Amino acid sequence: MKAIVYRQYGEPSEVLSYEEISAPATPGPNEATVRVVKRMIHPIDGMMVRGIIPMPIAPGGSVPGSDGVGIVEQVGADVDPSTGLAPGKRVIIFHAHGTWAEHMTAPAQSLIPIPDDVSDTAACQLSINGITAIMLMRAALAADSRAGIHSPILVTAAGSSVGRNLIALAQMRGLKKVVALVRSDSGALILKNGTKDVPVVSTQHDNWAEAVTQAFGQAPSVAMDPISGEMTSKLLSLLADGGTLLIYGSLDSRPPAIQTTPIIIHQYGLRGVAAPAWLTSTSAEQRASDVADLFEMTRRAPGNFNDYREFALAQAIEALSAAQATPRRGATILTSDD
Amino acid sequence: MKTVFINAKGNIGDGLIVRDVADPSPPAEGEAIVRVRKRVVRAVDYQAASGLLPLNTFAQNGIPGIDGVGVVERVGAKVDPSTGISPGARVIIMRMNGSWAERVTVPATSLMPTPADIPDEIACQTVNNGTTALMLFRTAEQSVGYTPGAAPLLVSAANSSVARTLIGLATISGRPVIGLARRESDAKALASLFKDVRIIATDRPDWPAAVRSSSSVAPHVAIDPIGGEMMPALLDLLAHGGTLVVYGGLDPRPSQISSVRMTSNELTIRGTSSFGWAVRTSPSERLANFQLILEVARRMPKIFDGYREFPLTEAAEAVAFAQAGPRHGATIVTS
Repeated sequence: MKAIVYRQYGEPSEVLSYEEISAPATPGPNEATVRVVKRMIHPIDGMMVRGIIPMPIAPGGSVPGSDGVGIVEQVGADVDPSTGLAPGKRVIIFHAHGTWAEHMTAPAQSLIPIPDDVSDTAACQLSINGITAIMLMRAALAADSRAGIHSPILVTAAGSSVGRNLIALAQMRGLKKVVALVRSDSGALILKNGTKDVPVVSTQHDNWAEAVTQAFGQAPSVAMDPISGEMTSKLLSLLADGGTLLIYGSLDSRPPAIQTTPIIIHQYGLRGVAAPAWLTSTSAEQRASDVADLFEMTRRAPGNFNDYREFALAQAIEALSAAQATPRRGATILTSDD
Repeated sequence: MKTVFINAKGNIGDGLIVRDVADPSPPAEGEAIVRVRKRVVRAVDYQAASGLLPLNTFAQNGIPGIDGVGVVERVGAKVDPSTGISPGARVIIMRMNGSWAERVTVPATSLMPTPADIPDEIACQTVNNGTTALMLFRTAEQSVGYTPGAAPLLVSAANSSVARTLIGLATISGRPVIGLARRESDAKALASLFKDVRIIATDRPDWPAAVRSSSSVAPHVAIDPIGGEMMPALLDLLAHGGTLVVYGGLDPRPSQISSVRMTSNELTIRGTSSFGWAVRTSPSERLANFQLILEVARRMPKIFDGYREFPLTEAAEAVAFAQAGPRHGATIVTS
């Protein structure tokens, strides 16, 4: 089978190759083999290939990618039939390494059956970005159970896939006080067309922090941010007392510099949120309910998944560079069709 | 009676004056008059004066002092004698404004009888720093949550009075502690105070490695009043899902943290202040918790050694001494 492989960290154009490798063996207990048809490119994919987030490289080389959509080929022993996993079933692959290959073996826990009315394209955008959004929303309500109702939730990088999922989830849950923050007026315009009733503020203007507070006449009690860097201290300073900043990315690779005294005086919390913990720190019941919520959100906000570009798996290097282009709009998807 | 006033905004050491003012008028319903004997000089006393903290919150009418210990002189109507608040009773003033006076009028509900076996010089140290330690300990226990009891608390600036009380609380609650002290000499002194606690001096370059090798389980919670460069160092030592509780910014430099580490290890930084805690919890809840602090005072009185006392008329000297640092014990103003 064909796969994208790297044997050392570096620039994707120098270290990634499209080559023939051996197909996965028969699945072991609690595993399944999957024919992967689509994978969404995430910033973390480039970071791992470059070694910014060091993932040990396997002796024979590593295959990038930790999510995607595919079709179950074979199911190993001990897989609970109630999971719905059976040969021919369409599934989301969540957090299983090596999806940039035509076939892979994944733990059954990482596979989520897809309802017939949800397309492969939408489902592959849901995997990490949908689950990240649902974990952020839960962390927000854990930090302040009345966030979005009595005090605003601030969503930064709101035009991103996670950002739009967050807004859709908030609307689905009846949370009316959500403020969207984007980088530019043009981004604000695009987002306004796609999301009703959500005030959109652009950081293109110097007074954006005031505009965030003015949106509902109140400082946000929770902010969710994948940017970090200089954004971290700016976001902290506009939170209400006792507010929480949820960090879920490092798009700005510079380390944030934060001041302790305001954190204490205003009793701020900063919390890192990462999607992989969904598998380890969330109960099976909660995961089932999360998945149902995500598919429902997909039905209610189909516009969130219409904006994408597809590349063949063999074009992974071009796809990665397209995914990193600024400004980026929509998802970049790697496909392999038979 | 003698009362200390902040003369002008600025350096409290230069700006403190002692004036004679009229004694309080008779207590109203629910109030008590307390002759204050001792109060510890708090950082908020001089921070309020220098404009770092709101003056009206921490030094109302220009009089410093947010707590103290003393003796009840008179009580107003409707003060329930069964609470132990009656003339002659030794009391701890849990929270007030303006305790740097010989006599104060306070709501009886802000008083707690001082147990007979706890002397004033210890009792005055248990309040405030003790409640801060309690709040930190509660926050730590909430954050530890699901982790096994073996996970140690990592406590920096372990030689401070808050940290020593906190270590005392953890010790009597059976929670292991790793303490960090700035110098080897402090580490040695602390180690003799807490026999079962590993104290590591941060003046050796390999101190993080020493923390890692001192416990088979990584700390789930670190508690830090320093900030600056200490913050990323502590975040690096925490277990996955761990929490850094910050309650001071002794190092005013900004902390460079790694957002990659924050997210991939699901770390939390939580800012806390005892003032915020006082607002969030009920007085009865705090009093119940306070019994634990008194237990620490009984079982580990040495934690409260090393204090220095100044008479009220030398309040400016007391403040200058407290600010000069480094100090190992409380600075107490007596009347």
